[in-house]
Amino acid sequence: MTGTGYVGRAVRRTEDPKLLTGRGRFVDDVSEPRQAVVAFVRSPVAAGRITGIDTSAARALPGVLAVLTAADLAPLCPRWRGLLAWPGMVAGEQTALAADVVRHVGEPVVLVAATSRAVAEDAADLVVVDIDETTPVLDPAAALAPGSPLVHEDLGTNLCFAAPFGGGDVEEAFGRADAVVDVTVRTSRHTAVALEPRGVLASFDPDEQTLTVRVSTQAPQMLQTLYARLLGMPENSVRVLTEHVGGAFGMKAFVYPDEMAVVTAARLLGRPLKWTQDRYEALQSDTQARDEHVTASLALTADGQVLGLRSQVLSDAGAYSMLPRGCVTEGVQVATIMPGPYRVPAYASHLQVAFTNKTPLAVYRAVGHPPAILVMELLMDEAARRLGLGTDEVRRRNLLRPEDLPYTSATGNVYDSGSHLETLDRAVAMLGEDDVEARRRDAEARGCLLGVGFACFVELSAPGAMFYGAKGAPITAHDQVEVTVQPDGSVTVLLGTPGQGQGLHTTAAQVVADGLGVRLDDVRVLSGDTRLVPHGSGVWASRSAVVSAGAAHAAAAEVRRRLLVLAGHLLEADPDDLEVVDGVVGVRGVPSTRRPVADVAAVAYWGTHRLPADVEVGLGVVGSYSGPPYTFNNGTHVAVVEVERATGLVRVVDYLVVEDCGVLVNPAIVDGQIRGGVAQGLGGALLERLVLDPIGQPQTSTLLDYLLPTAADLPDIRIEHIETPAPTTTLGTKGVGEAGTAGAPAAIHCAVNDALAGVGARVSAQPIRPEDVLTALASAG
Amino acid sequence: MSGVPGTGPVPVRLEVNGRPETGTAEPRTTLADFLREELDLTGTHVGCAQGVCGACTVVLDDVAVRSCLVLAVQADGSRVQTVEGLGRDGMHPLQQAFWDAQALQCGFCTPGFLMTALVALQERDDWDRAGLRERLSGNLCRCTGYQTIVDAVLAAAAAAREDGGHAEGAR
Repeated sequence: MTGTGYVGRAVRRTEDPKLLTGRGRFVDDVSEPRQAVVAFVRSPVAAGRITGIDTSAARALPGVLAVLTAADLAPLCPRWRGLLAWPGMVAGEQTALAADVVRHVGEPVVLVAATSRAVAEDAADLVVVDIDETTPVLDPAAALAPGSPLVHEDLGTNLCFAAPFGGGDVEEAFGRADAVVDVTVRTSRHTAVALEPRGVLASFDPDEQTLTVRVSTQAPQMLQTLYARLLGMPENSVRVLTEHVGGAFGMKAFVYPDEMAVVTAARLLGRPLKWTQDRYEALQSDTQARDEHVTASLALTADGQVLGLRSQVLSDAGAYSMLPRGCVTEGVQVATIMPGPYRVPAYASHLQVAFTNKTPLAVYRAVGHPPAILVMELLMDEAARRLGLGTDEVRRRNLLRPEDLPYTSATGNVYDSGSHLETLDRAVAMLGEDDVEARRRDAEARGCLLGVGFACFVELSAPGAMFYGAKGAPITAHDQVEVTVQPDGSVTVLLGTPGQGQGLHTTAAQVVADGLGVRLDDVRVLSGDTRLVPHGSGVWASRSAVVSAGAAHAAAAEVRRRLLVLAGHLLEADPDDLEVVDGVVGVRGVPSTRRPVADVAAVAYWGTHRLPADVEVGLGVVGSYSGPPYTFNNGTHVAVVEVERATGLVRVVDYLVVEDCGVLVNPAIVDGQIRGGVAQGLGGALLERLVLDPIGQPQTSTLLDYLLPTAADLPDIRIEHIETPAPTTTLGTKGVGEAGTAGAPAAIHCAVNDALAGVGARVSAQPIRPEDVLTALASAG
Repeated sequence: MSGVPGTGPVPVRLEVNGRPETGTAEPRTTLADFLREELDLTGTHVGCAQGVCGACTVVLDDVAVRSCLVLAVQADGSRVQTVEGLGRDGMHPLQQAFWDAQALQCGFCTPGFLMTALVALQERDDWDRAGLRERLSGNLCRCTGYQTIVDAVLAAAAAAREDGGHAEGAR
């Protein structure tokens, strides 16, 4: 494809001026005439049976429009189950407002609509909900023991799903091992904390019988489908709007009961309804993640060759399997990603997913990868210490080499390309430029222990239809993008997948400008209205640089082909001899034939009398792209930490990333994804933990209690790229959005354990809090 | 509740971005809500309403404050600068630096960072990276990992020094 060379360049983002000037339009920035504002009454207990709801005082408050319960919404919106076709999986029913039973603190019970949020909250305070509290299920292991109370009585069990994964002869591998090392690892429940809270502005048009929902989501077309399905409406009568979305990270890819209640109530009441979540609600009701209990063993030869791997994964799903992605993806990925970039000939994993009376667990950036990679990297470090090898050396002896590719992992994942060993060697070289031993001594002089941690990983990205569609979830794996050359030669791109800060408008413009041969400034990208844009699956699983960009390229290529046919007639030349560069078309090597694309486009629109009847004159094309079943990016992270002996405080003082995500569309955007991802991974490793008290009451209800990384918690992150193009994707891209988050928890944890190893201590749970470090130091004596 | 004596709406007069503005607010209305809902200045974002995330940061009489923790009636008679008041003739140098450094992704936290950085650069224009990271640590960003924000503010500081002073004052 001829190009103007925008792909690969760190062009500035077209999205930014509007956001920088404060003229973004996030959901709460937009209002409708006669809108009312919603507040919810939520369950104050983790488990109980609703015995009565008295809304009379709330209804009597001036300014209150309606006070609605499950009984009011049930005729319009049925119950649903977030069930996928995993063999044996079960899931309990969920409703927009809790009907009879409440199953976690924060579950919405009553919806209040009023003239302002303040009045709505005043009214919510006047609602009396009588609940007979029952014993909550708060430990996933206890949940699976006989006689446990049940989260969903109708299921007869708290076991949501169980399955083995792996391949090869593990018994034989462990039988002939020279060394076996074990770890028990706990990662803590945490949550995405998109800085824009969730929100929805819904209105129903009774004349056209159409529903319009402006919502903070990463998957507008998925919500269009599911709103239509749940409300019994045709999909072409549901319009979902997203202009600016303030982060999502997997958490905004679901049908939330509170949002569904607002949408349903807007239809019921015939008034636009707006609900803007507050942070207190977010920390109780946004999907949560990373609540994993893992034990694992690694069998090795005396010289450090991995023979086999075993793991047991217990995943705490919380109270519901959320529609439509469900609650087992994280656990499945923990189990199946664990072998990572290493030659692991035999692997056996057993996964159990249990329901508990907690906020639902679902997908969050790098779904399952952080615990999986953490476990494998901790095993590698244990092996290194047991066998007397360097932590980099034991990895080097097991990482996939170029001659091993393509490689099929023990869980069936095919790695078709990559630079698994090379990323480690490059990272070691970057690190070697500094004198680590000198830094160790310097740290010691200041009362600190310095540690270096490696994380080598693969990240599954851009998954295809087998992931969800084949399991019955209405989640497409392909994307569509419409590219139109206007009569003046300017280009309009309608993007099916809009993005929430990833810069997808910019990257789509780069791909289209190159694909067509026009200037970047001549391309305008639009998205955010499902009534206008072609189908897109939304942002998830690091897919957009593969799938959305692939669709943009497909559309641009077809428009370019049509342009060249038209130009061929006008120039009396063979289209194969033509080129389009910088918006100018002409016969290659014959400058006198050059003319602006606008001249050709003008003929396509209003000069068609000059063309044969059989020429395709439409210069608008919808391109679609499905891509391969998945791609894998790979990388190595290195964290350097200082552990302060007196306080147990861990400080990340240096961080290196060598990443291979194939072709880079926009290096600045890729680096931004990696750095932001590392920051979220650091949060999980050191800070973020949702705490419940013994009866299931959240103790982390504000951002003072739930700690996020700040600018002062992060070092500058040094990034190098290796570009091994994906052989299976149009542009050679592999996706990268989650890679930073995938690798960081392991690199930081391994660094802390490296620092502690000198005094014989280690930690095995995240987040690694100062008190955990002090306890480990004390017990090591 | 407006039915309770002494809690009804009262007039609030501010100078916002150099212009006089008048609206009404209940005593419990925050400055953030007043700016957003009464004056339709929606560039100031509310990320937590708990005084932690800093997305709602505005400059109140030359001090960067969290407008979710200030009542509108407290601000009566004050000067307020919001993101909408930056760079009315094209982008403010800070905004330009944020764009150049790609110091934003979703953009929700960005107005708060800009206002915090504006005041930080008035305090001093010779920040080192570590000091600036501390100075900005009252604002949360979930997308960027902060590095490019630090880059942008330092670039704006350098540009201001080359100009021989601050490119534009707080007002």
